[in-house]
Amino acid sequence: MSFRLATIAQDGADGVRAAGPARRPRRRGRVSDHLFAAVPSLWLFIFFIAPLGFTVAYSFGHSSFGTVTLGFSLDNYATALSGFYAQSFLRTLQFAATGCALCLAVAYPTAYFIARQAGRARNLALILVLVPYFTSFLIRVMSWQILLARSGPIETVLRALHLTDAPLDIMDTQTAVFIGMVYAYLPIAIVPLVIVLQRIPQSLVEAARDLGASPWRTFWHVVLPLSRPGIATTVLLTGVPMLGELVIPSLLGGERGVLIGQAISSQYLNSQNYSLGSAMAVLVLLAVAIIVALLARLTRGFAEAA
Amino acid sequence: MTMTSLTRSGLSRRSLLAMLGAAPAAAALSGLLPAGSARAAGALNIYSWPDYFSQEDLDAWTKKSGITPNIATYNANEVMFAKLNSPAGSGYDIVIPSSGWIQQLAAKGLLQELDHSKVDLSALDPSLLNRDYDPGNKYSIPKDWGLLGVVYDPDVVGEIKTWQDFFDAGKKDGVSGKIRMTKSASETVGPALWIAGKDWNKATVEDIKGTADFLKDFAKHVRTFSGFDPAALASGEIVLAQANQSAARGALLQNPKLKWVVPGPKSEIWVDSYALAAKAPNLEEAYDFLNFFLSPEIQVKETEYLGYPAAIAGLKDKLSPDTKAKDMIFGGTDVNFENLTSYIVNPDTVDAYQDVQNQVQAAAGV
Amino acid sequence: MPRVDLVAQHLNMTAFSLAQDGAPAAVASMSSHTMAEPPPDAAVSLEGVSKSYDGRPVIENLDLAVAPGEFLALLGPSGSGKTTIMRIIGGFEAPDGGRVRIAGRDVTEVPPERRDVSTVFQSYALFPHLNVLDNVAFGPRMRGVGRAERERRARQLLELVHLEEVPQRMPAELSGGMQQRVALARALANDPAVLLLDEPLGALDRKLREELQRELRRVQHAIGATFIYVTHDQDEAFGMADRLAVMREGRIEQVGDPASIYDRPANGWVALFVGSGNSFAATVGGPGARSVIATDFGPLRTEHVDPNLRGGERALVVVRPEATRIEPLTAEGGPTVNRIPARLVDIVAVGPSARLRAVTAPGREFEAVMRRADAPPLAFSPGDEVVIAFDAAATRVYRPDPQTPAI
Repeated sequence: MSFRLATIAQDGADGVRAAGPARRPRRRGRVSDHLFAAVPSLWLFIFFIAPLGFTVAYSFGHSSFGTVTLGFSLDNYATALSGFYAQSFLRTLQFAATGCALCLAVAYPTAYFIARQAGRARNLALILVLVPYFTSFLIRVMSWQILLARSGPIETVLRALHLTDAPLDIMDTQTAVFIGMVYAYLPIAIVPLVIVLQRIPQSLVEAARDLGASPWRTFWHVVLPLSRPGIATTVLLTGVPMLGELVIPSLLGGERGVLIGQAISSQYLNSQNYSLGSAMAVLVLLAVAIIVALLARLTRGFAEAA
Repeated sequence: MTMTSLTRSGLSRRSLLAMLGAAPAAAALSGLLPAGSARAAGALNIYSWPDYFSQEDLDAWTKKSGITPNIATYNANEVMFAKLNSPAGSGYDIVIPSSGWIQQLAAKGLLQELDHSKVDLSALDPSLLNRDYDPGNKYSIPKDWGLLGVVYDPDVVGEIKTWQDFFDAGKKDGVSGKIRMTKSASETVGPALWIAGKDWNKATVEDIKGTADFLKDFAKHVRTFSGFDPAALASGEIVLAQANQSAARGALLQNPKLKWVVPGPKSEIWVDSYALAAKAPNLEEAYDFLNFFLSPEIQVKETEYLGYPAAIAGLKDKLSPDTKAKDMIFGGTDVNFENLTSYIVNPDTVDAYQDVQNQVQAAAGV
Repeated sequence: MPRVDLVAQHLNMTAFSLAQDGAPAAVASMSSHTMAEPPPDAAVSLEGVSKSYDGRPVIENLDLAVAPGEFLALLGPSGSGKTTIMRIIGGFEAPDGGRVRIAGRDVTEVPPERRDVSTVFQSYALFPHLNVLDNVAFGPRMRGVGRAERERRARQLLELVHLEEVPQRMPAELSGGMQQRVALARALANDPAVLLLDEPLGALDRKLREELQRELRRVQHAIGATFIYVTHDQDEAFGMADRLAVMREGRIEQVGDPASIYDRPANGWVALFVGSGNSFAATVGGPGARSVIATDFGPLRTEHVDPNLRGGERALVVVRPEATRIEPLTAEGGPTVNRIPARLVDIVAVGPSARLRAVTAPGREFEAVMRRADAPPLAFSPGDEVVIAFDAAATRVYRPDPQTPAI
């Protein structure tokens, strides 16, 4: 996210420069150039810089039930990084990492299968993957409440298949949360992988086989490393939102365990403690920036030879 | 905040009503209605919980006044407070805070004092007036009210009379892991304070934090802090649950073997109340709306629509005789109103309450 | 039965002939029933191999044997099935029928990784995530060779292809020619008995291509492996290969050393596909007069008539431009010389040669390539009345081919 920001900022700067003295004779060009520079800058300011600025300013201030006194104090950071909230933070990282890994584990083979289909079948499969994504996120998650409930459809099927005769005990557990997470994030996990996998030339696979690699070793030494940019993108698109996830744990996990997203929300609302909430939000933002920076190295594609 | 979560988290009031077979008109009521019709003499902006008025009664007032009220909604007192406390909160006339928030809203100058000459409270139940959260009803008029109690399966849980019974029963095999508690900090901490003989509005930060170990220890028995789900009680996934009387009524109608109790030594009564925003631009219309909705006829209709008792005196006798589980609308017949207390949000302790709540939910995690 | 006729011709011309450099060339032929068991020492042999895609045959009952150490070029227009043959040998396609043997071992069912064959792909197919050294060492690595040993081997091969300077570079940082060399070194790293090269120079410019052609020959001589080289470029095929297999529509039309294919094409299609040719229709003379054919330009003499052509049959005559001369009207021809009056259309100097075009009265165009030193062709100018002349020995008379445009 911070990268897109950087690009936009750069574009804006270039635009301003282009509108400088060198182009002065062309009056109309100058005005439109200013306009082109001003509009993105304005959006950038309204949607990114101003809210971020408030959040950062609040985080160093002092909050008393809905009223923030600005200042410079690290107290909020000290609270956010100690005891219970630090634990929540670590737990959230672990939670996002697990969710992301599970999502990847399901998405990768699916994407591999889709990428290997011929053009039309592949598009159809991609559409099928994406269709649920166009329905409301809440409805998609809440439907799992029905599916996973006791005496619900899944239990009925399992019983009919004689796979279990005990009541299904999944709702309000971690398992239910991760089922919901994998389901909710699967479409955006699959798409980048399909794009990367379908771009790996078949000739590279054949070259590996030709040089003595078994199908499995071909996958391990050629396909997997070449799909790294797709994996990194998937991690970015699933792991980062999972860091702020609070709907799925609340709907499927019985709100047991407190994730940082829930903790921030409780500071902003229940405690009306904007400063502590802001400090926690800034820390999450920093963590995201670090993750994005690490992943950015992997998202760089491999230059095509020849 | 305290009383809100039971009623309003997870399931909206409308879905509860739908379960009770209440007016299908509820479905037609959207959160934000379009601006008033062309012939409107004035306007009225209401900031309220979702589906908190019957459309039929709103239409009746529109017919009388020529004004279609704009209704914006929130689903937590916290959200309402934050919005009124910001520039985005100007322009509202009527807001409907829960009892606990009225003091803080008034302290921040977000409410205006009521002109008692313009609104008639004489028909309302005196026990709902002049309460500690708003002495003399300076800022608020009771709209409807609810109780904190417990729904349970007596075959598994045994009998519950007190909050101590609740916590003891929760540790038993067969009950542990099948408990629903609320996400509201005061409703989690409150019972622990009451057991210790303390008043939740006078408890110090130390008192509140002192309940943390006891509650965290209990947390491992809790299955969910999410919204109350009658289906989970019907299927046996949950056998012991904190709930308000209206939600409990829904569960009891589905599964008559369940029992409901308002435990001792103390429990909660919350009162959602009409209040006027400090800078209400349409005062005349607001008072007209209030008087209309406080009229006995509308109070009965609203009660039947919402499933929560309105504030009018002698309401129970005015309800239609074929109302199902009529007593449960009022929390049953053996509630001792002497033992009920309303939580009042206090900036000095609100952090401590929420801290404990977060820790309890975290301790319940795996 | 045209096929049988062709087979007879193949056997006639190419059976166990010696390749240019003296290596024994194995027989190749069109159909298995006329062919003896392949030589037991063949590096690669295909026996009755067929392949179709979606019911459309791409390879039809094809036999081919390649001797160890031989450089064989598969030459044909695109779509002739040459790449498919290579993929079948490499193991990337399974034949619908027939057997594939490598060094005598039946590998028809063996996956690519267990065949003693390596491929240089048209796109090079270098692994973009590995540097040059790791690309070259990939094969030995997959075969379980230890790091030190496989890197030593990779460096050796990089030296062989003159790339010892760049082991740490990534493929994308290399020029096309360098990538091609890496691909070659990588394919050689497993020390394969057979190297398959699929149009490996196709993406390079002419100068680089010529340089790398010499390079490939050098490498092949140095390591002594069998090379099977797929190309549609005649210069490449003729310039490098010990033997050529000319393919059309999934069949091999002719196999032989470059000289015999150029000088004695097996049929009209090969004659016109390989190099350029003046072609025209004719009628074969009857018994006792087979050296005279009737054409639009009158009777012409010939010495090479397809033995399967009967007297009176329509035929295709091909004369190479190098064997065609443009002469002044007044010049005298020898007794075997065919002379056709024509008008000069165009004259272009190409290096030491001149390319002349002349049109006969019936409107048939002839091309002649003459050494500028031998005769003063530049003395002509377009529009001159001239004579097209060629010796009887330079004409070849074939059964007409439906796809040959001259008829």
